[in-house]
Formats: sequence, C-alpha cells, structure tokens
Amino acid sequence: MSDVLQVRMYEQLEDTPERRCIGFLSPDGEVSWRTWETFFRHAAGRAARMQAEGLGPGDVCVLVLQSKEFCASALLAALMTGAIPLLVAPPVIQGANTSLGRILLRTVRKTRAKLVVADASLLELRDRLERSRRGTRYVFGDHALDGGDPSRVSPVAPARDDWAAYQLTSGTTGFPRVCMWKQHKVVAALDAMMGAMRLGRDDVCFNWTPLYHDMGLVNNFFLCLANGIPLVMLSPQAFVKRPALWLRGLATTGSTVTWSPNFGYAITTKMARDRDLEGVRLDHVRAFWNAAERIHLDTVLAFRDRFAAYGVRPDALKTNFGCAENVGGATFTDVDGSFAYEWVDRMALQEKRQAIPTPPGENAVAIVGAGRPAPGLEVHILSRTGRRLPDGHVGEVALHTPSRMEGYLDNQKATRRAICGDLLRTGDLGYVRDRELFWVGRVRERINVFGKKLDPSDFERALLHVEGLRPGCFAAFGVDDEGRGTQRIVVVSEVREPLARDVEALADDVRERLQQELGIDVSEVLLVPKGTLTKTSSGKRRHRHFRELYLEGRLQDNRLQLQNA
Amino acid sequence: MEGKTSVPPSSPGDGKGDDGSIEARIKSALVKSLRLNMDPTVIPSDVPLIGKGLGLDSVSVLQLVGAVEETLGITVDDTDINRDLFQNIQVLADYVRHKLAAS
Repeated sequence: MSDVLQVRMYEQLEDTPERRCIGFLSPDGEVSWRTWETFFRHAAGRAARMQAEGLGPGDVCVLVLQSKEFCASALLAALMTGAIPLLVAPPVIQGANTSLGRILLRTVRKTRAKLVVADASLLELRDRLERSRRGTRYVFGDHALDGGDPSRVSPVAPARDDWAAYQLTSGTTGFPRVCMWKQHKVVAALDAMMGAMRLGRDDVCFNWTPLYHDMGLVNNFFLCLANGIPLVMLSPQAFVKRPALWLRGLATTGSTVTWSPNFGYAITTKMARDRDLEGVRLDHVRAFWNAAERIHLDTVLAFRDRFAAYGVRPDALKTNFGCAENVGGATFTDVDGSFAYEWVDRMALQEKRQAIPTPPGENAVAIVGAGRPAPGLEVHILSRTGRRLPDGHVGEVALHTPSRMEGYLDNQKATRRAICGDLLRTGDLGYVRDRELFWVGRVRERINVFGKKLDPSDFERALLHVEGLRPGCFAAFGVDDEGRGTQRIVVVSEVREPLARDVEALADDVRERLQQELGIDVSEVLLVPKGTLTKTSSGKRRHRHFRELYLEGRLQDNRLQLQNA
Repeated sequence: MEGKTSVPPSSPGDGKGDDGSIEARIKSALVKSLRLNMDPTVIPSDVPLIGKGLGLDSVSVLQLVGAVEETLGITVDDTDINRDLFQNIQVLADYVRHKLAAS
C-alpha cells in the first residue's frame, strides 16, 4: 500500500465511486450524503480554480473556514493540487477576536502561503491582508472557488518525503507553532489508528469537532478518506447550540465511532433532554472517544448513566492521548473494553511524583487512563534528567513513534526540545501502569479550555497594554470546572500604586484585552496589591505556584476591594 | 468597545413590566441554558453579554443562541453571530423582534 495520503484517497475513489463518502448533517437533523465520485468531482472543480489562482504542488494553501461542507471540499481540493493545506480557526463570534488578523498575517508570512481561502466574514481584513505580502492570493466566501472544470485536474502523486500538511499548535510567544508533517508519517499515524481502533468499512464515523483541530482533521477527515470509511460531519456551532443533534445524528446515520473533547460529553449530558431524544438508540455506537483535554471521571460516568437508557454501553466509552507533534493518536483504550481509571494518593502524586493506588476518599485523586500504545508505538516516561522511569513514577511522556512530525517550521529551538534522539518529548506529564498511560498534567503549566491550548506566557504581551497593572507581575492558570467539563481561566495581577482607576473597570479592561488579543474569555480577574506575587515566586513555575495558592483560597484574601482606590 | 447599534432608552435592570416580553424570555433562556444560579429578573437589560458584564465565552454564547432559537422559534444565521448582537439583552431582543416580524 502506498504511503502517500492522496494516493490512498484516490485508491478508495477508484475502488468504490458510488459508495457513501461523506455526509453533512444540517442543524435540523437532515443528512446529505455525497458519494466518492460526487465529493471528488466537486473538489476537483475547486482544485481547478485553485490552480488558476497559481496554487501548485508544494505550495502552502491556508484555509480559514467554518467546518462545513465548503471547508471539507476546499481541503480535499488543496490536497488534489498537491499543495500543503494549513487550517486556521475562523472566529465564532464575528468581530470579537482581533487577534485573528495578526495570527493569519504571521502564518501567511511564515509559511509563504500561495493561496488563502477565507470565510466571507474576513472580507473586512482584505486590504490589510493583501498589503502585507506580495505573492499571496486571497479569495473569500463559499462561492470563491465556483465554476472550475473538474476534468482539468489529474491525480497527483506526491513523494513519500514531501509535506502532506502543516498544523498549528500552541506556542509560547502568543503565536502558534507550525508542525510539519511528511506524507509517510501521516500515513503511519493513520495506519496506527486503524489498528488501534480496529476500524473497518462497516464503520461510520461521526464528527462535530472542527477541521482546524487535529481531532477533526486527522482522527476523522484524513482517517476516513484514506481508508474508505464513511464520515458524517456536523458543524461545531450546530453541536454546541443543540448537543442532542450529536446523539440523534449518531442514531439516524447508523454511526459506530465518534470523538469529542471532555467538555462535549459534559454539555451533552446537561443539555440533551429526553424529548429531544425520542426514538434514539445508540447500541450500535461502539466507541465514544474522549481526548484533547483533561478527562474527568465524573463527566464520563455521568454521560454513561444519563444515556444508558438509550443504549450507551460502558465498554463504548474510550479514551485517547495524542498530539499534533505525533500527527494523530498515540494511546488508545482497548477495542473490547472500557476506559481505565484508578485512585491514587494525592500527596504522593504531588510531592513525590509517585502514583500510589489507594482507596477512594479525601486523600485520593481519580486519574483516568488514556489507553495503551497503538501498534508500532512505545511510551516512555522520562525523569527531569531524561532517565527512563519505572511504572507508577510521574515524568515527561515521550513517544517512540513511526508518525513523528519533522519539526516546527523555522523554530529550531522548539524542535530540538521536542525531538530528542529517537524520542518525541510531548511536554505532558504522566505515568504508566501495566502499559496504560495515565495523564496528569503538563511539564510547563498550560491552560486548556474547550480543547484549545494556551501557554500562560501568551498573556504577558496582551496585559502590557492594560493601564494600571504592574508589567509582568501576573499569573494565569486554568482551574478545572467540573460542571462544564473543561477549565475556566483565572488571571491574577498586581496593580500599580497608587491606583488611579476603579478596580472593577480595570478588571473589565483585562477581560476585554485578552478577548481581543487571544480570543479567550477569562472567568475571573483577581487584582492584588504590589508584592503579593513577586515576593513569593517567579519564573516558569510561577503560574503553577499561584494556581495552588488560589485553589487553597490563599490568594483571595489579598483581593482589592471593588471600589475606587 | 462602543456599540454600533442605537438602543432606545428603557428601564434597564428593574425587571418591571417585562414579564412575558422578549427581554424576559431571553433572560430566562440565558439562566436556564447556562444554568446560572440567579433570578432572571435581576439581570439588567443593558448589561453586556460578552467581554465586560456577563463575560460569556464563545461556547456559552452559542448555547444561549440555541436556547433563544428554541424558546422564541427563530433561526439565528451564523453570519449574524457577531459582537454587536451581544452588546446587551436589549439589542438581542430587538434582533429577535425583527426576525419574528420578518417570519
């Protein structure tokens, strides 16, 4: 079998042109299926238009589109031209995230993109974008690639060492890193996932996660298209508005496999009412995969109990660990079993970095397993000095993997940190027991909200613009929000004294600025007097340290009163 | 950020006289869909929904839109989900009234 993504896809097309390839579920629950022949013909028309815009093999094509049919088609079209696709998240609330223009400009410059296909809502940025770099073409809206002649596009066959795709991942300077994936590494990731999930042509995958996230892109779109598995897509917005659509859609399309970050399970459990689910049966869903953010035991158990009456089986609840640097998933719950979890001693975990099993109780913490390594992959746990640790000891998760990225584009320092000999260092903290990987956190503090990852140092630049704060004297961290199944963001900052502003207005400014610069919503802003943060700690461990103080309730005492200072 | 849509003056916040009004139904949808632990009538109609004020994140905004669509029987186009629409409940209510009149 070929180890080139496009060749694999074309083999499926030739094999079964009349079979269902991809279906799109509308917000009112209707599914429109496209056969392989139709989906490829439509994409070929768009590929012809891309070629007319100058896009060719090896060029970068940036897609900034909502995850709907046009995005899926444009993505396939870009692959058909032999270009390197790179997907960037468009804004959910239009006009609310001004950081997008900056991220897009930097991405375009950094990758020397030839073509950008953007959502119509970005038209207002057109002048700014077009001025910034000569040689990049921009087209806007769902009809921008209409009218191309499909017959002009002949199948491409990139080499196994050519770039298959680029993927953005969280960075440390307010700008995402660009992961570079080679063709044969992407195919290796897909083969590993096929083996671990034991997918076959009788399966149907259902995806509401965005295509710009590796869960949507690799675990669903690439995996299904390269292996002839029908894929149903629902837009992330439609899912969040009415989570019951996910469960109804699984039932009506006979889907067998689906993915979601933890928060998706939490909001579905809360929001989907019985009257939305009349007649829904989920017995045929053999895998609900949970990945991409911390997995809460309570969330998974609540989902299981809430929907058991609809046929959700305990052994269908699965977990996974993966990262963009590994292209796809690395560890998976066994196909025949339910996810694993264990209770360990809280103090020993925090202070000795050891996971000692203990009965549930006040001093115990539940850790959810992320599965066992996919075929051909090994997981190692490394000490701070790089020594391999035995079972039950917490350290950095490193992968010996056939699907490792080549590196980060134009970032040798970060690449050297991640690729260490024949290992990929993930920056995640965990331990192994009986081959099962248990994820416990990050080496560097990282905020993870709704599956989106942020480095606290990203906040520094944005906060510099807020008048009244002491520069650099802040901590930002995520606090688990069990109710919503994700994290909420807390920012603590020292203020300048004497403070000439209203404390509440200053806190509002902080929220507003972080929303504009980073597109994130801060749930709590805690303003504290000079000296509160600086006296105690500094450097990389600051965010983690203050997170602990916050959770113990020791920072809140220093809160400035909500009144004019 | 200044709003671009003009908002007619009203009696924000007192909750009086808007029982059964679009504003009241939006407030009740807001409290229910986000499981806020508060009495909907105490939410002022002029409090910003995103950024300042209630500080809803994008996921909460979509949950609110879903609840408003359902309780008021309208469809909010994705292209209408912009910053201006969530200036406050009053603006959102005006939008809903416009949608209802057009349907």
